[in-house]
Amino acid sequence: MREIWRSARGNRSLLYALAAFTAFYAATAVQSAVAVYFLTYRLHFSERQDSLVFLLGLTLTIAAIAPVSKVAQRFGNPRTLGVCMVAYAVIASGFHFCGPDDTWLFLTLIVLAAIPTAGGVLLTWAMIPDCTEVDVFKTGERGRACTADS
Amino acid sequence: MTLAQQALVALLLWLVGSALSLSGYVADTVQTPSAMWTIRLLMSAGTALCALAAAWAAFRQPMTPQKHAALTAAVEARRRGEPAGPQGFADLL
Repeated sequence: MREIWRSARGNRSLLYALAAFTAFYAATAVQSAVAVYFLTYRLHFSERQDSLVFLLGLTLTIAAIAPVSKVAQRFGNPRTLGVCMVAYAVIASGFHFCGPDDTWLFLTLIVLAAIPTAGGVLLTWAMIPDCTEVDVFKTGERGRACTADS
Repeated sequence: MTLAQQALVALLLWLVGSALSLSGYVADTVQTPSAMWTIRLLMSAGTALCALAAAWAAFRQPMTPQKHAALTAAVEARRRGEPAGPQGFADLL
């Protein structure tokens, strides 16, 4: 642990990558944890419908990875991730306005949320190899395992 | 990254569960207005705030494609035994 924190403290880009990673996964963890309650008690979905919504979201997220990757190659990983996270925040805010009769609004938000979610999953991990190059320059060693375990 | 992710998920699951319990959530029954409000708030504002924090960190990230290219070139130069300074990416160090 001490080695991991020493590595992170001496590498600004890694610190911001860790912060972005942590905050993004916090967002998905909160949403995932409460989504079942939202679907069941707010939208009155059955268990089968809950499962289909999760399947739809995950499938679309996987489908969105390739286009997000293309955009990131053009604009850079951090900037693309930043735009994705702002979009994710706006879309997540929209769930507040979904009532029991707003199934189509909810499904539209799920479809839209797949793009920034793909960006979060893809780009938070993609920023790590870039950051490890800083350690290689400073110490001559590549701490990939150390970084991945932090 | 893996440790941060797992620890975070565990902590947030506990926090979300605690927030729901405090709001009066009871499983398999009609929820109170305060429990419904907490569920909606966590689903929207809770997620949005975390996403905005991620956006802040991403926009503050000092690594750019240009700096990464300069860094990679310097690392390659050092590997070949040539002297290489931090020109173009000094703020990353």
